[in-house]
Parts: sequence; C-alpha cells; structure tokens
Amino acid sequence: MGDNYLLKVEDLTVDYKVYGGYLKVLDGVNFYVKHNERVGIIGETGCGKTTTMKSILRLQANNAIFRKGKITVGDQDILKMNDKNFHAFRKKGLAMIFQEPMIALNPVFTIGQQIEDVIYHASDTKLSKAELKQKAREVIASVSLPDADRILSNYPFQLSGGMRQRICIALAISMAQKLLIADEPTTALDVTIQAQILELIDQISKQKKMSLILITHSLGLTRNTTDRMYVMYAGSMIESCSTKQLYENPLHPYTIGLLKSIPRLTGGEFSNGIPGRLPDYMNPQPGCRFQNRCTKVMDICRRQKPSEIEVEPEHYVACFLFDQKGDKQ
Amino acid sequence: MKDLDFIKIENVKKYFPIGNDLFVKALDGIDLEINKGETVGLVGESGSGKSTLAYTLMGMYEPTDGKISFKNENIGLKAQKRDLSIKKEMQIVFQDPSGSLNPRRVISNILSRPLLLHKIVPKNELKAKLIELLDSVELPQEYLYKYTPSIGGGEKQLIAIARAIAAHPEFLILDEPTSSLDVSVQGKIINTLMKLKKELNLTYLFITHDMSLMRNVADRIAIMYLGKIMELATTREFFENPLHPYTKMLLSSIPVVSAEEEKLLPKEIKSSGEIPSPVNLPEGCRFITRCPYAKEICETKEPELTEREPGHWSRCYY
Repeated sequence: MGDNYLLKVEDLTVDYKVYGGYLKVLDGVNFYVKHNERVGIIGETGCGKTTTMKSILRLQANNAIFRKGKITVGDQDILKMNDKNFHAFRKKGLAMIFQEPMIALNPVFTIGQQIEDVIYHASDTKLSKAELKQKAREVIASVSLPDADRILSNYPFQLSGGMRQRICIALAISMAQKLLIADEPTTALDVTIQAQILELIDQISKQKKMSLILITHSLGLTRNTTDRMYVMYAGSMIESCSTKQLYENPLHPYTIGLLKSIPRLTGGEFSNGIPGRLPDYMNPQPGCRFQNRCTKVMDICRRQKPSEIEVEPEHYVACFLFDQKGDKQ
Repeated sequence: MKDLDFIKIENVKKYFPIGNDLFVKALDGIDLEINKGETVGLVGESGSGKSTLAYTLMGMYEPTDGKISFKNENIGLKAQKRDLSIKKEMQIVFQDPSGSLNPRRVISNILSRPLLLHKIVPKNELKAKLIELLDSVELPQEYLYKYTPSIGGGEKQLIAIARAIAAHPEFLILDEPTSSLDVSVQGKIINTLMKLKKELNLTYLFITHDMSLMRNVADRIAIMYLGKIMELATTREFFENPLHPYTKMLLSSIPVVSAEEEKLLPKEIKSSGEIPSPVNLPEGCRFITRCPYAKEICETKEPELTEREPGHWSRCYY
C-alpha cells in the first residue's frame, strides 16, 4: 500500500515568526495524493493552502519555522534531504503553477529565455542552443499557443493574462513528471479564460499521467477536474472525501456553509455565508479552530481538537458531531 | 409605477487617446435604459468596458460622444460640472474596499463625509445617524471608532456600502462588489444589498462577471463585449433562451456545483480565443474572432442591436 502514495503529508506543523510572536498557521496537516490522482484543496484566503504547498516544494518564506511533521514523495522524506539532492529531485518530479501569472514571470527576460533556462537546468545532458530552442517551441505548442517563435521572443507584458498563465503551465510541465501543483491558477482570469485554462490543465495531467493538486477557493472549479477533495480550514484538513461525496453529501458544518453560500443558477435563496473570520493565528483558542463560527458548537469543541473520523467509506471529517464517543466524555 | 426615463444612456462613446492618432475604444456606442427600482446586471470579460461605463456614469470620465441623462437632465459631464443635487442621487461601491476606504481615517469620519457634504443631518444629530447607518448594514456601533485595516474584507465592503447609501441616493452602481471577497462572506454582502434595495427603493447597476450571482439578483442582464452591448434581456429570458453566441460562451464557462445546474448550461459552444485589443477592433462584428458561427456578412458589416423578442435584444445576424 505504501507504494501507491505519490505524496504523503503527515502532521505538518509550520509557524511564521513575526513581530511579537509566532503565527501558528499550519496545525497538523494530513493528506496524501496517489499516483495519477487529481486532488482538489479548497479553503478561504489565509487558511494555509499556499503555505502547505510551498512546504512541499521547500519554498517557504524565511520566517517560516518548521515544527514537526513528515512529507514523503515516493519513498523519500523530502524534509530530510539536503538542498542539493532536493533540487535535483524537485526539478524532475514536482512543479507548481502560481496564482498570479503577472508576478510569476520575470518581466525583464523574454519568454524564450525563461523557458530555455528551465529546460537547460532541468535536463541531464547538455543541450545545444538549437536543441533548447526546439524544446521550447515544443513546450509552447503543448499548451496550445499558436505562433511559438513570436511568443518566445516576447516579454511577459506583451502577452495577455490567459497567455501568461499558459506560459506558466508550460514552464511547470516542461520537465516535471510526477506531480503538478496548481495554486489558484485561474483566480486572476476571466471565466471564459478560466474554462480554457482548466481544460488545459486537465488534459495535460491526463496526457502526461501526472498527479494534480488543484488549489482554489471556488467550489465550482474542482467539480469536474478532481477525483478527491480536501477542505482546509485554519491550518488543517477538516474534511476529505471523493469529489462526488463532497458536493452531494457534505458533512462538516464549514463545508455545508460554504456550499450554501454559493449562488446557484437554479435560483433560490442563498445563505448569508459563514459569519466571523478565521481565528487569530497568534493565540489560537484551544479546541476546534472553527468553534467561533460554527452553528453547532458543543462544549467539547472548546476543549479538544477533533481528530479525523471516517463517517462513511473514504469520507473523513474532523468534527465532534460525528464522534459518538466524544459526546459522552 | 415606473418612471421610464430614470437613466438613459444613448450612443455613449469613450475613447482614450494613446498617441499616433490611435484610440482605446473603451465604450463604442452604448445604449441602455435603466428604469427606477430595477437591478440591471452588466456582465462581460475584463477589458469589455464595464468599469469605464460605470465611471462615465459617475462623472469620473466625460463621454467622447453621446448623451447620458438622469431624470431627463443631462449628466454627460464631469462630476465637477454636475449639480450637487444630482451627485447626491448617484453613488458607487467599488470592487476593492481596501483601496476605496482611507486606511488613516476612522470609520465615523469616512461615513460622516457624505452626510455633511450633502447636509443630510444637522451636526448634533450626526452621531445618531452614523449609528443608524451602521445598523442598516448590521454592524455594531463600536465600528465607528475603528480603522479599516483592523476589520475584515467583508466588513470593509459593508462600510463602503454604508458610505454609498449615507446621502440617500436613488441610484447605486455596484462595481464587482464581491469579486475580491471569499465566498463565505459574499452572501452577507449580497443579501444586505438586496435588503437595502427594498428598504430604500434603490436602483442598481450591478457589474459582475459571476453569472450565477446575476441569476439571483438581477431583473435584466446586459452583456458587454469590447465597448458595445451584445445582448440585453430579462434574467429569465437570458438564462432560458440565450441568443448571442458570446452569451452562450459565457454561460458554458460557468463553474457550477451541482448536476441540476449543469443541465442549464448551453453545450453547443465552448470557450475559445481571447478578447481582442480595443484599439484595433475587428471589422464587421466585433465578436467575429471567437465566433464559431461567423458567416460572410459578419466580416463586413456589424450587426445592430435588434429586438428579437419583446424585451430581448441581441446584436447578431442569427
């Protein structure tokens, strides 16, 4: 069974050191991605989605402090690798598409220079200039952009948002083989372009048989692109199940609230959303981090952090509502 | 009883010069009437001119050509030249509340500016009025003494709404009021806006790119593309019987969360291409570069916005 997991994150706990203390952002994140599986992670702004992903790529900010946990990719514990080995490992295996295509690309280099750079550093053999250029053209063509030569000689600002995001995807997939992390890849884009980009990511991950982690705060996006979903809230995964289960039978009060607050095309009322805000990360209260926004809060929620409970097959929820034993304690 | 000439926009154009005798044609002949008491949804991709239209209505830009009237009075002018009494009637809520509220002013100060400028209340009743305003957006009165950086994004947007309704306007422009917010707070903002509309008899021009949201709040929907209106219909007509290929493309791109909703989306057209530059507009129909149904006539002559069914207008030959 161990072989089946491509990525496994166990009890990942990360703080940020800031003026006046530590922000306890990740509070024991557990999740896994199997080979050739497409996983969606949803959650509000500031719930730790990006911090988790950056930890997997070891791209944390300087003030991030790793407290405990384990991240394994394949059979390697990546937090124990030294930098040199990890870089060699990462460039072959993992890649990330960032949220803002305007910021992810360097404005003072042409697209061609940036793509060739990636290919040059990631390839085992030394490639000639002509070979690099040829590879770059292939990469551009693989993300369905026409007129590769013109684009390669352009600077990022000469391209539209959608084209830039395609370039970022091209950069990400040009060498990586195993896992593609897409961190809100369409947030800065229009719906029409969003649909195109999602289809492209979908198609590429299937074609290259890569696993995909799609991070988003928009529930509509993951429905057709992922097999399994995680709901993240304030630094931990609070619900995980197949995508179908999540939309048809959400269990955690937070997930239910999220789904209710989305305006539907079928019309009808939608709720006021979930009142309140994410908790203070500096001094989080003991117990469940959702307690102050939860409509079904119980005594135990204020004392103890809920652990994951398998409510139906492959459907895990971290909530005392589903813990019969917890009630009686 | 509806006042038919509440807001009338006739052939409004706004060109921005960019040198070399070239122009960004942000608005290229907009015709739109907004009746008192309704919510008109304005939908389009970025770069289609939605915000330019909002800013032109508000007087932040002067139209290059065309007429805008508010209750039969010409308002095709910069705000500086408008009557204070007209400015009072039209207010706007911007997309990003962190940018539209001054972080160095305490909220009571932000909210009292329109009250004092338009002399809504005498000075000794100011405080009571401020509390009433906060109450109308369901915020407690402690917020009067807070600064905006210390409150959440949703609450900031509620403050921006409170500021907009402070002067008792009749017409409110909402320029993507929820697109910078999380879904979990979006519902609160929308429901507050709808409640205020009923209570204060407001008229909304609601700009957004979220079609599912439009389905729930708008009475009529206008689709904009490259500075022109492509389709205009009542919300019901719009979703049940979309006519323009661009509308169908937009509808088919909506990310939905249930199978029932998926059934409502048009399937015959898929999103492709991107919005072209508003400097060199395509000849003929401006949607031709992305339209799968384009015929010869579309290349040479731009279709007019025609009434295909009562109240349902579309700018397409087919």
